[in-house]
Amino acid sequence: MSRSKRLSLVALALVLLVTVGIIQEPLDFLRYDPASKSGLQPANIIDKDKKETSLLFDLSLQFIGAAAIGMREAVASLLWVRADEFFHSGEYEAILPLVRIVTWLDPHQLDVYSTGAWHLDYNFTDSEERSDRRYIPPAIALMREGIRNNPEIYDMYFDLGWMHYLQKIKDYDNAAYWIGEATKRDAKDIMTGKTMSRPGFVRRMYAHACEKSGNLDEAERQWELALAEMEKNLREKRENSFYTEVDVCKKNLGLMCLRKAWRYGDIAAYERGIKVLETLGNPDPRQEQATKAAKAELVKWKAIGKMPRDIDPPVDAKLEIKWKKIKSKVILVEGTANLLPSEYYKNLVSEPYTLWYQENQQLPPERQEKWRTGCKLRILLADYDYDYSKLSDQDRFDWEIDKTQTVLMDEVAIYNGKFSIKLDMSKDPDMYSFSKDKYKLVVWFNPQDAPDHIQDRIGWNGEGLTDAKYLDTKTRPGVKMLRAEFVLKKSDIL
Amino acid sequence: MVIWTIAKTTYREAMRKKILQVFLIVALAMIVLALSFTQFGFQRDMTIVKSLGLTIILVSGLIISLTIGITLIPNEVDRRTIYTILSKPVKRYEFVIGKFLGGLLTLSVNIWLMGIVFIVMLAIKAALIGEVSTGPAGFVGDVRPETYKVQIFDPSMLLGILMIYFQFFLLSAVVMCFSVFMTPTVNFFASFAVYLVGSAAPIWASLAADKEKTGLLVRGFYKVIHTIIPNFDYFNISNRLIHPHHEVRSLPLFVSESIAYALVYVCLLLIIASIVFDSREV
Repeated sequence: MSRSKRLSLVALALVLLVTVGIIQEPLDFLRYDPASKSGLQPANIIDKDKKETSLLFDLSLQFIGAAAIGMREAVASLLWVRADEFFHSGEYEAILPLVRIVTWLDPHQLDVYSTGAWHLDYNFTDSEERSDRRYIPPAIALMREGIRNNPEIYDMYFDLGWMHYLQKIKDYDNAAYWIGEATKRDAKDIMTGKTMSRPGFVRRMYAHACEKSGNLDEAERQWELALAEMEKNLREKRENSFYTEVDVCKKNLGLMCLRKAWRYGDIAAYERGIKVLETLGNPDPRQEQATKAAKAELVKWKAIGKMPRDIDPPVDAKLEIKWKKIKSKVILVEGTANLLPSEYYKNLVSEPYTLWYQENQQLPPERQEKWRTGCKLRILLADYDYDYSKLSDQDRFDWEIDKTQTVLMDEVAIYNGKFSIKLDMSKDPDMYSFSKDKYKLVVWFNPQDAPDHIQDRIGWNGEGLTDAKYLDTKTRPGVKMLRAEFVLKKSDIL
Repeated sequence: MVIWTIAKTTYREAMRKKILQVFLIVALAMIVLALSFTQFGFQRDMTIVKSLGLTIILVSGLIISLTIGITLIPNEVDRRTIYTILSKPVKRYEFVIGKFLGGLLTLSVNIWLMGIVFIVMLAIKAALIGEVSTGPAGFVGDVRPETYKVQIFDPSMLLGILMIYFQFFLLSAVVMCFSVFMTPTVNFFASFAVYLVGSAAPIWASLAADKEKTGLLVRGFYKVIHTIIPNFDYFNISNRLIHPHHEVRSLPLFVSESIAYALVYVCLLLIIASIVFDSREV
């Protein structure tokens, strides 16, 4: 090769080197810069907020090596298989670091977030199967991380709202918010990523969550939307399952409207409810009879121009609560509550539809229910500074909990007007360390937690409830709940 | 023409290598076996099967690129056949390019053979499953899982194999460039080291951009590493492909730019190899 030829080749090589640098700039932006929103890189490697950058260096070399040569998903999948083995062998603690590593290696494995957060929320329990509430903030933080990494699809939003806020924490406002976010997003085909219609249960659960949180107008609107969606599916796909789905929506919508009428005297809602129930595709004979009876009632109330409200007069709960130490770390909470004598169901506006009181009266005396079952009190015994409303405040998923914190939560059913529960914390010093000097015992009844037949008498938000001692309208604005708080010293418990 | 003749001869010679055949058979067997994985339900199993399949192709591609590339030129020198070739009207750069293309052809056949088997096996698995349910498991009441039909052919896996192919297209050029002046053993480790460093590009990019923790000099050092060492991480997009629900607005642009990057870098490496080989006493 001549000297001049060689020099021109060297020059060409330099030009190519510069070209490589030029091509690299936009590639680096697409690949590594979060601002590009391309998502080609796990977000936590380069994070402008610097929340997760150090994580890379916390990992052992084999993970960095495996991740570096493109085996990230395979390693994550195999680690998750290992986590499954830990679960079945009862080594629950060992799963948590794996959840961290797997979600770092592969931030789009949805079920790792779902299963990991469920595991945190439900599987760490004391000797009496009460879950360790200290794991709820990390569970929510993990789900929110899942949402940050997978914001386009409904799955993570729904799971956070349904599994955690609605089922576990019973925070209906947050449940409605997150399930509502899920209804704004579609599903994706897992093979091709093509957009698919979201499962029908998402909107139905949003309607339920709105109803639970007391947002009745939105709940009704969502039931109407859910019904329209299912009717459209039925028209387009003609699958048998959609007949059932349409009837599920109609029954829920119709019944909710009737309840609005019975509880709050809303004749217009009564009319809407009857209209919907009359179009049920496949009603059972009892349903048909109930709808007819309710329609006859509607005619009566319309003629008068107004109707009574089942929440009147308010039920006086007459709540009485006592607590005492039985032995060290064992507390007995007991008392009485006027929730809810069967007599309070006599002559309700809803009776022609439900027929509950009439059928109960026709039973032999020994089988008659004197009290309606289903009312439960929730109980919290925790450090005095523990704030149950701040469960969502943890910013970043970290499973290391504060072992000095004591939080116990349980519930007790009111049976025949009485309740009694023994809180035995003596067998689980890891969960109940009692390191602080001051504690609080909170006992409450939230009407939003109550089943439908109880709400039929006291309303969705406790409008038909009163109590001389413990009525509380401040904790949840717009909701009349019963709430008692006692301050305990360490010596009261140990 | 000369280049093509050298490439064909190199390809035939490489494909006769027993070790290569063993790698290929083992890789194909592992792909087929990976598909028998059924433990967690369709969605999770497919994630595992896809990631394992792509990883098997990736690891096999890595081994094949290294084992073929390191011996391409040193073997000709050791067996003294290079004297016969160069005594004919064959220019040295033609020899280098012909050898590279021969190696590349071998790599292409191996990777695409594994790729086709992988895609066919995935389609069979999807067809056997037929329908999957969506929605969290174990729900009661109004929350009932709904079913839908699975798409049998997954085109994104083709893209995954294409990106793996270009990754090793680039690595083959690195190995080729080293092989003109290194012994096979040294070349094996040097090329593997370049591959590891180049695959860890997110780390260098992260350190080069971290103004809070690192000084200007250190950042500059990492920036140089990030720019000079071929970036193999660009071609690792399996995460996006395994989880297609994750939207990437600029994927076609990214893929085309990555391929352009590989082409330019390979040209650069072949020029360097030609210059070095030309100045070498053979």
